Amino acid sequence: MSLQGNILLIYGILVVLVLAVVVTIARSSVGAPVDYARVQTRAYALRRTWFWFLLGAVILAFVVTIQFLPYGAAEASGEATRYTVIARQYSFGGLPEVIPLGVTVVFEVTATDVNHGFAVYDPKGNLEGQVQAMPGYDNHLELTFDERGLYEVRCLEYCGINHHNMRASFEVR
Amino acid sequence: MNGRFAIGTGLLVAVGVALIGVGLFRPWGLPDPHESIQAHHLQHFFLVSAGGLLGIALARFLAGDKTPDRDRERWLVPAILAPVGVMFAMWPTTYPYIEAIPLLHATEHGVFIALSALATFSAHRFARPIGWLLGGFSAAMALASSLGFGVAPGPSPLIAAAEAAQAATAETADPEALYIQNCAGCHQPEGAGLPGVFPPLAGNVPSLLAAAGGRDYLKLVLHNGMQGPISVGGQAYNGAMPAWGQLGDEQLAALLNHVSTSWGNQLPSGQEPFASTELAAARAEGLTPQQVQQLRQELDVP
Amino acid sequence: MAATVDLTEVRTTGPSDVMEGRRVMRLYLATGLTVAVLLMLAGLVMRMAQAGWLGLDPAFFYSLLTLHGSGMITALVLCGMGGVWYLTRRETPMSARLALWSYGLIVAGVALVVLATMLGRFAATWTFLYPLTFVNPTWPNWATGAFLIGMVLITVGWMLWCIQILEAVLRRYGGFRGALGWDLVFHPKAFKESGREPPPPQMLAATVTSFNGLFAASAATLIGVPLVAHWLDPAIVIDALWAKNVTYFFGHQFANLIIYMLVALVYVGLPRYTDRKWKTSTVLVLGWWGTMTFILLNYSHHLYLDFVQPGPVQLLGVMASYLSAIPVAVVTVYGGLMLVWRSGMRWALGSIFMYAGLTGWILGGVGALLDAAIPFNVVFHNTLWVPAHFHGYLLGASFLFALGWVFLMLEERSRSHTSLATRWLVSGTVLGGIALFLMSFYAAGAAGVPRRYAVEPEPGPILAGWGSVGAIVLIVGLLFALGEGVRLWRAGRVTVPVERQPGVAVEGT
Repeated sequence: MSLQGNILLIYGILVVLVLAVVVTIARSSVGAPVDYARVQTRAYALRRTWFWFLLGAVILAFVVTIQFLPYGAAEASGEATRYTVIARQYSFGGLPEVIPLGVTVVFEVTATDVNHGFAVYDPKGNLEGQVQAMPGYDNHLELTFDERGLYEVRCLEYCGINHHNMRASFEVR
Repeated sequence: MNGRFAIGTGLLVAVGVALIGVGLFRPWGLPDPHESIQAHHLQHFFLVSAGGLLGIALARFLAGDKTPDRDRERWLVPAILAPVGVMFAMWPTTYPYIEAIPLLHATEHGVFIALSALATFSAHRFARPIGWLLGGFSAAMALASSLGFGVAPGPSPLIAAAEAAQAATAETADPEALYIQNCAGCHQPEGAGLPGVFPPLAGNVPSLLAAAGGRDYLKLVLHNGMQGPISVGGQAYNGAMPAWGQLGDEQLAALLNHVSTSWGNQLPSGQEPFASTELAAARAEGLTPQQVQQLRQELDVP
Repeated sequence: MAATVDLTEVRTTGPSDVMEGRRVMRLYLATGLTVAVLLMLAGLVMRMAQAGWLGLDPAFFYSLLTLHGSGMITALVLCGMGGVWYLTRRETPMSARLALWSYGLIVAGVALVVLATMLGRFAATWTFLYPLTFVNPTWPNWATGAFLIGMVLITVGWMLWCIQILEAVLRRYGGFRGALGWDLVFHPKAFKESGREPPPPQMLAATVTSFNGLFAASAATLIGVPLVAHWLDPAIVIDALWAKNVTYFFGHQFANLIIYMLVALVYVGLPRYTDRKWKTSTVLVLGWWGTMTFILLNYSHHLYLDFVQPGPVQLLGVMASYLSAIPVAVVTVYGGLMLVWRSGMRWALGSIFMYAGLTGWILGGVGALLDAAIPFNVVFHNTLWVPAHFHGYLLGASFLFALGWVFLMLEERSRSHTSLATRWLVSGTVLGGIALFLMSFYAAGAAGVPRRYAVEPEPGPILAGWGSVGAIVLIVGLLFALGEGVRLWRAGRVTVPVERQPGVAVEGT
């Protein structure tokens, strides 16, 4: 499954967990009430654990996710094939027709007029990577294509009334 | 007013005056405002900060440390509008006469100090902490302006490089590929356009070529773009076509020939294919997109 | 089960002042909720167009999208402003005239935005990201000006409210030190011995939102004036990256503050369905300090995909985004759950909506946290995952908080009660509709369907169909809710007990 599919699954599991907690607590409220002071004593103790757990999760998530940053990857990839992509209303200029399989490529992306988004979708329609295309700035996106087929590029930053038609494609083989 | 209060007020005045000095005389290697708009904004930041402090000092001096007056709400009007005025005063267009006439330049600086002082004075009269807050925000806005209001990087060098590369390959450019890359995004691969949004080329270009002035119009639209309402085949359009002057005359001629002879289109009898020389001649006529639209309105086409 | 409503915690300067506060609140809430529901219809039209059920010209779609975004944010901001104003007014005198000026300026701004988008077809979307507002516009120049000036008016109205609320809390609680509970945290023994009370939870919300609101207003001015200047003189250049930073700082702050304003109503409202109180504790104060700081620092999560941004700014965005979840999960939502646990709570529509809203906040928050991880953002940015999570916050939480509060007020004053069947019908359709609507966005986002697309690639249209069904069910549910609300209103009024005078110690508060 794609990365997004996995994330959606995790999200789904967390939704079910949250709903289970919320519904359980709601159902507990039906019937005779319990003295709040007692509830508070135990709940505050639990809350302390909950806080430390969340803080730990936050720090762990931070430490793990910063291992996978897309920044600087382009600079680090040295001899990669570089393509200049120029985005303008409503086309992407500079894309090659064919990109070799398994080769690290760097897209140097900019725009002439407004903000655009350079987003690459694999032949199955999964979003593989994206970067902003800005007037006056260059963003470098490093990607390696491991699947043969027709890749689609879509604009992913609203750029005017033909935004949804702004696309290009290239083949990987 | 008591001693501590007086000392505090005096301190505000002293720091305010010192900041004006820093702004005007630029010690410690601060950049010359004449060098760049950024440096100019920085100078104005010092003046705005100074004005803010002086405004609070004046409010303290006039009101003492008594509680604010009952009718203090009216002070909110200048309190809110003056910081907006400060931002407008950061308007970065260079006016030569401000440089040439020192009195005007001094007045401009006076405006910064006065507006900022008005902001904090009024806010302070409404409520003391609000005076400090609005002063802080005004100064922060003035400082932040130096990062982007009136200063921007030029177009990326990648663009010029790409255009040069494209011009170099002009002879070998395939018209179909040129069309797909540049025009199909709006006019669609088969020249059908998007009803109400982007006019069709199929069936439309021959009518334009046949009309008096139509051939010239097509060249001008590619060079200059077009914007504004037009009617094509009874359908209204109100869009904007970007200019394509960055493509070479060879390529523009190839494109025009492509759209004139594809999808059932044909050049009218008596008309030759487009040549790069006539595109070069049309390039000299620099029109605005609105002027091109005017031309389109004058054509006698369905 | 608590059968009567306890109003003894109301601290006021007198019954007529409460009335004035209520009138202002009703004006803000009525306007905000009406605009919100109208814009829900606009949202439904767009979702149906994306489903292929309607044909919409893209220029109209995008101008409707612009109206929907700006209008919804403003409508919910109005609800929050009204609620916080009323709650602050109960604690200390404030000028209703200023509140009406704020209201008037914002409504005038909204009118201009409506004109710009519907008449002028201004279509730069609510983020009006420079330079899109000025490059090859498919709308007339006056529409750009009308939109920008409309936003300026909204900003001025907002700034006025922030200053008024902030001044009121600073005056009432003794400066920032008192309003932010400094002494409770750092000198707890001395504080308790002095017999002083910290500000109630809703007043911490008022302080933080009005203070942070001034940051939003300053950012709006910082980008608004250059845009207006450029509109008047296109020779003026603006750095597009700087503009993006300032625009998103403003937008992020403004939208975030909505839920933090409306939660004040939950702090006051939810306890009323139990016999428990929500009091200010050290933990609550620390939570609000956290919120105040983190929501200022985490705006850069909108710019992860601008690789030219400085690295430290990106990392700060990640850290502050994650940390901002902690006060919500540990203090506010946890506190709400504690309040409900084995409380014998009265489950009327007011409490159902408020409780559902707290749930919605968590669920929207999890979606947001996933998006806030940069490697995930690479595949979620500007897909429908983004509207999924913010509709979770705005529809699934903020709107429900406001709706719950309205029902609280109706229920307290009505001789009648909502039957079990009606409660199930209304909450089932409203919450079920919202759930289906949100699920369609999440699924589409996971499938990579881009946001802000008048015509979507598959599986966008099929999921948009489900989203439309959800929105229709929601709107039908809201009609049921309206019917029930009107029925409660007309069922005759209960005599409200005389509210206590200030300064009189009230038991249990």
